[in-house]
Parts: sequence; C-alpha cells; structure tokens
Amino acid sequence: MYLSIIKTKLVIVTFLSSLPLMSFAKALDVYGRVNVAVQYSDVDNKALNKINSNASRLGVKGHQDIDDTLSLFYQVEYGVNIDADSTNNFIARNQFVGLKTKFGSISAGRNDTVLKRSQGNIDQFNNLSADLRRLFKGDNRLAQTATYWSPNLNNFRIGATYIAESDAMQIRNPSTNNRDSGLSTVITYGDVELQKLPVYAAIAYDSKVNGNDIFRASIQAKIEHMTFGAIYQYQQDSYATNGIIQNKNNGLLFSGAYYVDNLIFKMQYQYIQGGIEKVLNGNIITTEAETYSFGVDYKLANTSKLYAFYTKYNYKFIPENDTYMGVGIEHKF
Amino acid sequence: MNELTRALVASGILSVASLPVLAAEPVSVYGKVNVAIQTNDTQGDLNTEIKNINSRLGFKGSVDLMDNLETFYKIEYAVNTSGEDGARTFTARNQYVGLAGEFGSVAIGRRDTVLKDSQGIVDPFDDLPGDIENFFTGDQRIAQTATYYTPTYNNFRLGITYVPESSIEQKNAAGANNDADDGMSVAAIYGDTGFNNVPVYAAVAYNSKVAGKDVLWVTLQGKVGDFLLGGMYQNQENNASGSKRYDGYLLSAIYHYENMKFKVQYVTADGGFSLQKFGGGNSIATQDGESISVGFDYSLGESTNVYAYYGNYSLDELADDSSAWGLGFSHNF
Repeated sequence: MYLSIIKTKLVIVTFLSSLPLMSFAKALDVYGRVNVAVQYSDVDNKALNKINSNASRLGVKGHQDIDDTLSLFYQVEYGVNIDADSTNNFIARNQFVGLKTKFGSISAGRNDTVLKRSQGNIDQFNNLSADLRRLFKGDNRLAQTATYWSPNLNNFRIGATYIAESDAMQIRNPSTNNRDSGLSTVITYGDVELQKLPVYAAIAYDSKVNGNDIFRASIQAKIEHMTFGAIYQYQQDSYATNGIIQNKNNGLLFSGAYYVDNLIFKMQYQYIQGGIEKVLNGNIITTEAETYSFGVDYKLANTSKLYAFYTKYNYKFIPENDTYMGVGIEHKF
Repeated sequence: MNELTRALVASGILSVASLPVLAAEPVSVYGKVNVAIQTNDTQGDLNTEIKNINSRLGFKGSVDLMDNLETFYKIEYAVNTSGEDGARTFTARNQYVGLAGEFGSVAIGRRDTVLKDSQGIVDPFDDLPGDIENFFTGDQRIAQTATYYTPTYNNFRLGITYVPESSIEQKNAAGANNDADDGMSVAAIYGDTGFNNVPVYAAVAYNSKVAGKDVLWVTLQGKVGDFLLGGMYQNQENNASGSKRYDGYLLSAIYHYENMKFKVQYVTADGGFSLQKFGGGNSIATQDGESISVGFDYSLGESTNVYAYYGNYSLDELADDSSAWGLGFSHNF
C-alpha cells in the first residue's frame, strides 16, 4: 500500500479548487532530487574513483491562504548525502516558514542568503566539481536568517537577508570580541528562468556574512538557442587581521550554454585572484586559481537527465593541475 | 496515474485529454514498522529488550520515458525506534537513481551488492537473530556503488556491482595509511524469489575485494508443494595476508498453511560466530559455531504480521549455549 501524493500544484489549483468536498487547504508537496555521478578525479597528483552524490535532497513544502491578502508558505528540506562515509546522511538544507502579502514576502529560518540566490542559473556546473562556490565566497546557507523579498515592480525586485549574531557561522569581531549580525542585500532585474525577459541581472552585497564582505554583479542573457552569463565578484575579510583587511580578491565567471534538441552543451570559465588553499611542499599556501569546465546534458524528460562533465583547475603557485570528470544521472520528483 | 488522479478521471472531473498536462509524478511514500520484544539468554545472563527490527521509511518512484526507457529512484532510511544513539534514529538504507530499458538496468548510489541480492528469500529469519548476516560475510549495503543487471533471458540474469576505492567500506578495509582498492560483486541468478515462472531459485555470487573480503555464495531454493526448501554455501577470505579462509552452510525450510508460516533454519560455519552479534555482552573473537532457529508468522492481512521466533547459538569453544526468543509485530505501508 503506497500513499500516493500528487505534487503538481497546477492540478490542485486549476482543477480542484472548485471542489467543495475536497479540501486542499493544506496542500503538501513532497519533492526531491537524486543526482549521482560516477566520477574520476586527479587532485594533488592522486587519482580517485568515486560515486558522487551531487546535492541530492528530499523536501516537503506547501502554502496556505489565510485570507485574500495574506498567505503562508513553508519548506523543510534535507540533503541526502548518498555517498557519505556515515549513514547519518540526512542533513538540513533550507528550512523556513514565511508570510506573503502584496507588499512582499518575509520568511524566517534556515535559508540561502539573497546574495547566493542572485547567481540564478548562471553557474552551469552548479553542485558539480566546478560549482561556483569552489572559488567564490558567499555561497552561504545560514541557520538563523530572516529574508524579505519585495514584489515585482517593472521586473525589478529587491531582497535582504538578516543573519542573527548568534548564528554559529558569524565570526567574532576582533575589536569587540562579540559576534556581529550580518546583512545580505540584492536588487534583481528579470527572472532567473529567462522566461519573461531575455535578460536577468542582479547586484548583491554581503556585509559581515560568515566573516566576509562581498560584492557580486551577475548577468545572463538568452539569444536564440544560447545563453551567456557572467559574474563579477569582489570579496574581502570583514575584519582586519593585524590591522589590515586581508583576502581582498577579485573574481570573474563566464558561462555559456547551447541548446539543441534534447542536448545542452555547456562551458564555463572561472577565476579568483587569490585565497585558494593548496599544499605545496608540505606547506599550506594560498593561491590564485582558475577553472575551465565543459559539459553536456542529455534530457530524458522534464524530470530526468543524463550528463557528463570535465573540469580542470589551474593554480598560479602550484605546478600540477587538478582534473575532475564524470557521468551521471539526475532525477527530480 | 496515482489513485487520486484515477478517481478524478473516473468521476469525470478530469478529462483524459488533460492528463498529459498533469504529468504529475507520484512519489510513493512507503515503509515498515517492525518491533519485537526479545529475551536474550547469553551464557546464562538474561536480558529483555524492545527491539527495532529494521523499521524503515522510504520515498520512491519511476518515470516512463521514450523508447521503453524509464528512470527510477529510491531514498530509504532506517528508523531505529530503539536506537541507542539518542533521538538520532534516521540512518541511510538504499538510496539511488537509475535507468532501465531493454539493455537491463543501471542504478548508482548507496545500495546492497548483487551478492547480497542473490540470497533471495532463502533466509526466513532475515532481520531476526537468525539472520545470515550474523554468521556469513557479504550481507552488505555499500555507500558508493554502481550496479548493472542484464535483462532476464530464459529466467536467467547476471548482475554486477562496482564499488569504488573512495567508499567508506574500502577505506576502512585498507586502513588510514594505505591506498584502498576498488571492489566488485558479481552474481548469476536463475528463477525469481516469487517462484512465479520456475519452481527453483538458484544463484552463484562472488565478491572480490569488497570491504576487504573475497566471498563466494551459492544459493538454492525450491518449491515443493506448500514447502520452500533452501540451502546456501558460503566461503570467505580476508584480503589481508595470512588470514583464515572459512566455510559456512545454511539449510532452511518454510511451510505455508493458510495465513500461517512455519519456519526452521540451521546454520553452521567454521568461523564468523561471535556472541556479540546476537545481543550478547562482550565481544569475542569470531569462532566456529552453529545455530538453529524456529519461527512462526501469522498474517493479519496483506500488510500486517505477528510472529514468534526462537534461536539457539552454540559456539564450539564455549560450554554453554546462548539463545534468544521473541514476539514481534510488523506492519508495511
């Protein structure tokens, strides 16, 4: 006996809202994603075969109208780290509850910052070995957040995430020895799916978030069967070390995708001026780094795809390159 | 179509023509709650426990694609109702994504090896103290696997599980200072565990360097009237040099009568027995022994069972036998 759950809200909204006997006021959506790849890597001159789970997850979400102007929404999502050493592989992802009015939405809980969200779909290798977060700081999901998103005004939206000072990832201010609260802010233009407009753009700024101050500007455009994206980032430590603000680095990312039939060909270049830790002659150093990535997705259905990728890392102060390659399956439900 | 969709179509609320728009992918939420009260007599020390018998909760589904292809996924967790690790009771079981078609099926993720699969239902005391995993090696779920099964030809199929070096079982077997090996599990299987097409189930399976061991299993089970008679041979050897190779045998019989099932099993192995495995106190190095189990299942319908069992363990080097008996209740949903 299986409990079958319809997940498509379209069904519920379009077809069932007119049915007085069937109440779907508490529409519950069980959803998830299983993404696993067979992967080969050569890192620090060591070859490794691995079965790699890429942000596989399981979640429950829903929303409920309270009255004509107010609705409630929630999400409880967990990562399923299939490949983990430990069988305790059920790990919190975004988990929040919120309210939506015509003045925007506000939510509280564990969530991605708006700066993280501002990347949209520009990172073509999201969750793989070339994920933008490997070189850029700022891809933060934080435990104690409150997030506001404005309504859409002429395709513009603004958003802000407040991170409470008691969040474990907030770093102590050396001058006061207290933790400060952090603030992540963003202004976006267009939609990340490039559905309503052929251009998406965002400017985001993190102040004292997880110990970093970050400026990130993102843009993506759709031209016929292609998308092009670019991100510029400047990042630095929030607090001075020995009187000097350290880890001041510029970064760049360029991505492109070409859609033909069921195939998507993808490539990406990413660069960061410094701050990447590597081991050289037994010592930990920080270095400038860049990645080149190539990939292809083969879409089997709206829910499923096969994919292959190759990523190469170059480091300024390390003679050897690192490489990753893999083939995988993703199924969304 | 899930049941709700089907009901709506039947009632004329949804027209069949609108179904492709829906394409709602049902998530099957399923599970099992299985708890027993068990008394252990370990060398004369009595203790009673409320024992969780592999209770579980899972999410699974599949989607039909073109060309007779389908993708499938499963995320299953054990629910250790009586777990000793505080309230952290959610531990990973099989979790994978796969693709099936005329070529057979491929699944990648966390999964039982094909050697474990090959036992079929020859072990009627699965998950109870008489479970072969308490005596034989190879009853393993591995964190990182890729498994391929051929299609079934004339009731015959082959399977192979690849275990990369980075899986925790391989790393543990190698030790911290050594490079781990890739492992491989292969199986040839005749018949099916439902005995639908042929009255015989037979399997030969071999593990090479899986979790540090080479293991051979040969399984045979036949349906004779209302009886299922089964036997199994195992041989195992540690990959570490100079370690002992040992054999084991299992004989089992299951008699079905109306909604009752009578079960008996005998296991002997020249090594591999330890008191700790069946609830006994102190760890004792593995040694020769034999075990006899008898049990009785009473079905309260399709998904619910009450059952009773008794198991006796006799270790060659210990004067006193140990035993366990219990009464349990299981419900599948």
